Amino acid sequence: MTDTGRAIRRIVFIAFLTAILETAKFALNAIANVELITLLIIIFTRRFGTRMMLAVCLVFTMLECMWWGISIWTVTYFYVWPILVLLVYVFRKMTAALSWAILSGAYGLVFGALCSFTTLVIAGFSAAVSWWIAGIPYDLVHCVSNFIICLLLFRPLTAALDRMPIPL
Amino acid sequence: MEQKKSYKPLIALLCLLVCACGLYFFWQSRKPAVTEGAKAITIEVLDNEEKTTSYELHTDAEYLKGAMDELAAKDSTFKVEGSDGEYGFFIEAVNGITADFETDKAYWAIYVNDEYGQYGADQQPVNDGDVFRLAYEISTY
Repeated sequence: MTDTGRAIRRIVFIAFLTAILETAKFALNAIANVELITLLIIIFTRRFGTRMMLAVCLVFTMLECMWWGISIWTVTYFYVWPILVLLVYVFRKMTAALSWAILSGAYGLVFGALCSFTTLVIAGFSAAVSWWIAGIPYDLVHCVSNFIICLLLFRPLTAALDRMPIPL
Repeated sequence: MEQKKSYKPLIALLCLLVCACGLYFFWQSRKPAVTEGAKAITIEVLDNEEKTTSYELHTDAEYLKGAMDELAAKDSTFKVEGSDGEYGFFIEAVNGITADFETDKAYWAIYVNDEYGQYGADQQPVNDGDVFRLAYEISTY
């Protein structure tokens, strides 16, 4: 396959993975702090690699900005999801579903703290801390839901993805 | 050959549990105190024409949302509409005036005793003598 062919194949695949993330996001939008994005980013990064997923996260965030407008939380997406991709890269040797569920739960627990960095830049330290503290109950829900979702779905989804060819 | 069992995931799970419990107790300790019993409060509405309407209320409500609901039931001139969002009750309209962030970058801010509120209406505690101001504001961001 030529370089151009490979590049086109990658672009199409990025669009395909982004569409899956968007669909998952919209499907669970009604339930606060219960989401599939963390799990999908974990299993996609393990299967398709860090570079591919950083591109997917960028396109996903830009789509969110186009859909919801540029606001504090859409801006946070520019760094919170790439941080998760990098975390998956760091822990790439883990295989047990329980280990990934723990990482997923921990990520949900610190999600509010990560998001408060934008508030820190815009409104200062005390506003960011107040914002983070007010959101702790939601972070706890995020932690528990991420843990359960990952524990239940990590194995079946990983097995399904393993049957899928890598686009390069 | 017997495979060596790794306890690392269990230790990590324990750490996650400890952190989650720690955060919960930290949040509980930082929650503002709520006064029980009859409380005399004032709710002011500063609308989009900078007109202030003031309401006095005696209430047992623990949180501002409950107090506003009581006031709306007692006084037909006061009305609050909103929706439950990711971060609690989000005020969308007060006395029929809708703050539309999408089109006007407008929102209803909550001030507590002249300070910008740090909580949503359903998390903002009500204490005796509190003055709440619901102010129509335009975001500068």
